[in-house]
Amino acid sequence: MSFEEEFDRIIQRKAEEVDFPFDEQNWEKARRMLDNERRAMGIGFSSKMYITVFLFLLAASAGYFVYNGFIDPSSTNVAVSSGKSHAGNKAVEKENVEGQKKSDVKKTTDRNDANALSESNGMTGLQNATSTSENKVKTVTAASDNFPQTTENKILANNFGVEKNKTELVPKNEGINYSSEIATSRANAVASEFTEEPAVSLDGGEKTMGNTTGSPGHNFVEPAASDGNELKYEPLLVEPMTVMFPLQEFVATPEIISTPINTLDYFDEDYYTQEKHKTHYIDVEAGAAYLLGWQSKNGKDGQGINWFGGVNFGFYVSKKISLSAGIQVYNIAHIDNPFFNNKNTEYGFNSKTTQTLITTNSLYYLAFPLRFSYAINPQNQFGVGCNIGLLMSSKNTEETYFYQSDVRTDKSSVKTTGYYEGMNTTHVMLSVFYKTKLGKRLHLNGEATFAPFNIYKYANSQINTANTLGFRLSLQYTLFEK
Amino acid sequence: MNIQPQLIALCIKQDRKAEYDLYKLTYSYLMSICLRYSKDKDTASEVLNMGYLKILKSINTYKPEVPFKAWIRRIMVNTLIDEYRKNKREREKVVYVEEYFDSSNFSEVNEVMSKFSCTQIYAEIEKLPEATKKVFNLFVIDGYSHKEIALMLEISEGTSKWHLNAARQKLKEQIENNLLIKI
Repeated sequence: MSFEEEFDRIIQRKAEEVDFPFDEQNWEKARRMLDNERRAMGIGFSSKMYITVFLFLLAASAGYFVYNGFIDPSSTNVAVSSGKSHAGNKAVEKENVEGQKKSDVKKTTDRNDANALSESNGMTGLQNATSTSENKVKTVTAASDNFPQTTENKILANNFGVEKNKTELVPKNEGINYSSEIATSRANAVASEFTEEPAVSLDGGEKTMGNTTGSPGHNFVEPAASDGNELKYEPLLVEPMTVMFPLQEFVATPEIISTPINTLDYFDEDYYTQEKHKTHYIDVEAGAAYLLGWQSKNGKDGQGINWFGGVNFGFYVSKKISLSAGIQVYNIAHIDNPFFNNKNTEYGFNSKTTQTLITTNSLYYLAFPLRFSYAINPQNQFGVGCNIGLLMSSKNTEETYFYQSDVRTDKSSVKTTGYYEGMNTTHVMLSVFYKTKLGKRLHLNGEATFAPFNIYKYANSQINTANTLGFRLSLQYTLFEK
Repeated sequence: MNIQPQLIALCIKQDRKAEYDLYKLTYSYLMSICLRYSKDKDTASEVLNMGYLKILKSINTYKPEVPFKAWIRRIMVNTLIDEYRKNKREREKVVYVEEYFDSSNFSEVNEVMSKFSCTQIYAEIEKLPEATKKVFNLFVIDGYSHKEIALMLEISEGTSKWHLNAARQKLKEQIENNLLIKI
């Protein structure tokens, strides 16, 4: 044994021989810490519960508000045929049916054959349930040649909003009747859904001693019997708290080596040798999105800054890879061009034309973002994502122009909420993002998004392709990570 | 001192009297560990309490086949190292140095040191620089390898070895100085 080793052993033994008298004050401090810790744990748990419940309620109310919200309580049902009709629609439908029965007004189109055109366009048109008598228009025609020519193409307002202009549905053929019947059946369908253990001894004479490292040659040791040489490693029976120190020549006992370790904790041998990594997290996110917009005949549409926010729940697949799913609300605003342009002409003594333009100014989506992230290092990560958005509502402007013998006589403009059937209810966005850590819990997320599908399902106006390319910048705050 | 399974069972049930008894029984041992790693008694007491909370927090996971003493020592050492790692200023003092002190003959020193009391040894260890003291404690007293120490203190193995040699050298000098003062 070298002198250095001897030196070490003396230090070892001397260091462990010391006996410190119990300090009651220290216990008082420990007791207070213990109380605080347990209280904090209780509070922590309840706080997490409250936060979860709060977020759930927030998301639920946001969803409800977006879905049913923006409805002016004073508004009346304006349209019939949306699949999301509620009870009010039945009344409207009834009125429509009555209207159909009572209709005795001759209907003509530009070609003096409104029905033919309506049928050929496959469009049942915009239907309003309430109207002022002077605005009644009996003929429904599609003015645009661009409008798709299928029976599915019903540009029908959902049952939200305020309407001043009533356009009664006056069926002349099966195509028009279809609308009313389907509406009724849809409305009905939707309405129907809606021991004794071995003693643990700390005696100096215990058989096994703990080296906490678990490394070969440094494990739990069985002390050698004292041979009188104080420099040799031996059990010190005189001192009850004496620990025999692990040295190279002592071998770990198999039962201790094989002790299973379930979790990495303070007492685990791998506490430092294995890096502890998190398994899951919850974060909240809020930010702004800039959409590049799309080209329409009157210039760029949908271009500008929008908002979004949500909650994400993620779990780590590995140290570097994580997956997350969440719930998010966002909007697409700055839309100025109408997606629907409809002209109705009634020929009598002189022609009376009503032109209706519908513009969805803002669209509100409830989305479910899915993200796949790869951590380059603890500070930075990048990934790809897919955002599946469901259209919940929209803010619209309905403009009606009245012409008599091609001379404009009046104009009305009404703001409505609720989306039209001509809108695409699903908005899928693909994204790539880069996230960097700003603080312990705060991240900055930059994201490029592209929506491959048109936001309009049917548009008879001057819109070409209304898919959305944009950029998002958001702050993500980690509420919980474990 | 015996830690009975019943006492552990009561601690799992958060029985305050049992927690007090356990604290009292383990106090001297845990304090001896804390004092070796800490710069003063106040810090040692503070870390001891933190470690004790961790012991109580994890006591339900304790397996009787592992000696309780070894188990609590592991927790306490890990707590001490955690505290050390949290302290960035102290960490900055750990500089990667690959050169070693020349180890001179320890024979005289060993002879003198064997006559030292425990308190004197503690006092000498306490005088060591923070990082050096930790490496010395981990290697010499708690039996960790340089590789493990390197992981724990986030230093290289070479630095760990350097600190160990520095600690030995420093202790030797201190003991020699003490001897001279006495003479």
